[in-house]
Amino acid sequence: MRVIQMLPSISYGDGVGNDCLAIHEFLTEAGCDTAIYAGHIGKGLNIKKIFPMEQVGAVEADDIIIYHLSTGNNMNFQFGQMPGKKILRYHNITPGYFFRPYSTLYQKECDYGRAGLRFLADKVHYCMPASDYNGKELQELGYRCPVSTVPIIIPFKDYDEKPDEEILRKYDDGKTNVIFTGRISPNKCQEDIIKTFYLYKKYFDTEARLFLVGSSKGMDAYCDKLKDYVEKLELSDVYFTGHIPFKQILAYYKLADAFVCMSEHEGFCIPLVEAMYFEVPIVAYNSSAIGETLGKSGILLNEKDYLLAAACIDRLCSDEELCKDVIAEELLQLDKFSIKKTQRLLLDIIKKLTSE
Amino acid sequence: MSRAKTNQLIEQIKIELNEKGYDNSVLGFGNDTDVGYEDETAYFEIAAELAALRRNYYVNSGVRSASLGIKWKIKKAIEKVVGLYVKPIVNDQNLYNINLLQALEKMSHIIERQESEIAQLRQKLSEADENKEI
Repeated sequence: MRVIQMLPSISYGDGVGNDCLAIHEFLTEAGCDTAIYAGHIGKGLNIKKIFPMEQVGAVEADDIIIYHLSTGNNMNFQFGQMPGKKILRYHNITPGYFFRPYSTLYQKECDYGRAGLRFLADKVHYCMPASDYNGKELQELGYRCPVSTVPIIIPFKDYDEKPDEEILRKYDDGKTNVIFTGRISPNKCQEDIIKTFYLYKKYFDTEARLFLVGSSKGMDAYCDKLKDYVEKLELSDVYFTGHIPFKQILAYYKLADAFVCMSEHEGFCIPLVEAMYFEVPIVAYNSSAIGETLGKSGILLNEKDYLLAAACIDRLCSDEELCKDVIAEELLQLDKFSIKKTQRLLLDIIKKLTSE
Repeated sequence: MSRAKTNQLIEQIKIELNEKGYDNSVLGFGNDTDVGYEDETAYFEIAAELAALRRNYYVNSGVRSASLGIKWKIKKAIEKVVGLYVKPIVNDQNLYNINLLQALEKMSHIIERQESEIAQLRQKLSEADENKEI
């Protein structure tokens, strides 16, 4: 019996890829015959573990296939037609309408992904969504197989790497640094972070900086619009970092005084967990899986009130006691995503399927 | 810090903001009106496939042979070269096929349901006619 992991694309540093590699590590430690097969293999990965999809070979009826679904791809349909015990690892797909004003290609890709997701409803044996929110979505789409939430696996040990010193030197000057990490994407509503920051600067801290850390690849139209918006607001100290090395991302987390998230659709939101790890207090808008990932931690806003969000940032930056309390709760929440707990959940599912 | 406490804090901040009279208005981003979108999800929620089309709807753009010979490598290289152009078209075609299949399935369900409703109504009519005659 083999445990095969399949995904359309795997690249260095991407959340789905990291989750896949971590699962591979667990399974190898547990003595499983396991391998990863990907449609596209990015540079900088340990090729020994990952093979092109064409080499998957014959799949036996007792083999277990874990398929990572996060985008529109033909593989979503191929997976449904494969033999073996099929586990769907659902990371969520952003609804296409977010991309409508900026990229027809992205919109179509997401819609295609949802078509694939619907197609798989009666073809998989087990679902392993990364959040209850994702699980609920599967059930609403007609999935009747067992569904167990297994949080996304985040390789925390990578975060102990040394952060980029140049960035630290440049911005560690006592000024308030507000950050958001994540690709520039309309569902993440970076414009709402800018609005919040505008009000924060206007009423609370004229010296503050905002770092929007993340790649804008494929979303140039949206990114240009954001930059125009910053100009129209005559707002200084907003930095779009673009795609940057991991060390620099770590440096921004180290520098951050507050993490602001205004996303309207997230299947899990890894950056929130990263902010917890780096002990950065969080202010977030309660949408999709955000409330679930935050748990009782951070300041969760049930309404998109930019002035309120700005005032919350100010409170966190000026009230040391409050900041400490929020961080303490974040560290408690972080424990829920510990690799050992996730490992146990995952291995239980594999055991259940092998004993069937 | 519990969620109840943070909610309390938020309420307290709201009162303070109100007292200070801060202005909440910010220049709009400009896409507030153009994000309206028909509910595509509902479109995709149409149930499974029509059996006759099920076998043929899917177009595979990839090289099929799994051998690792020179022919496969050449085919794979050609696929890579033309893939940029071909793959989006194949994806579009597949998306179209799926939409069509699902729409047909929905229509067949609607027809089936209406047929059974018509049959029930006919039965009721004939029962009513019989009662009338009696």
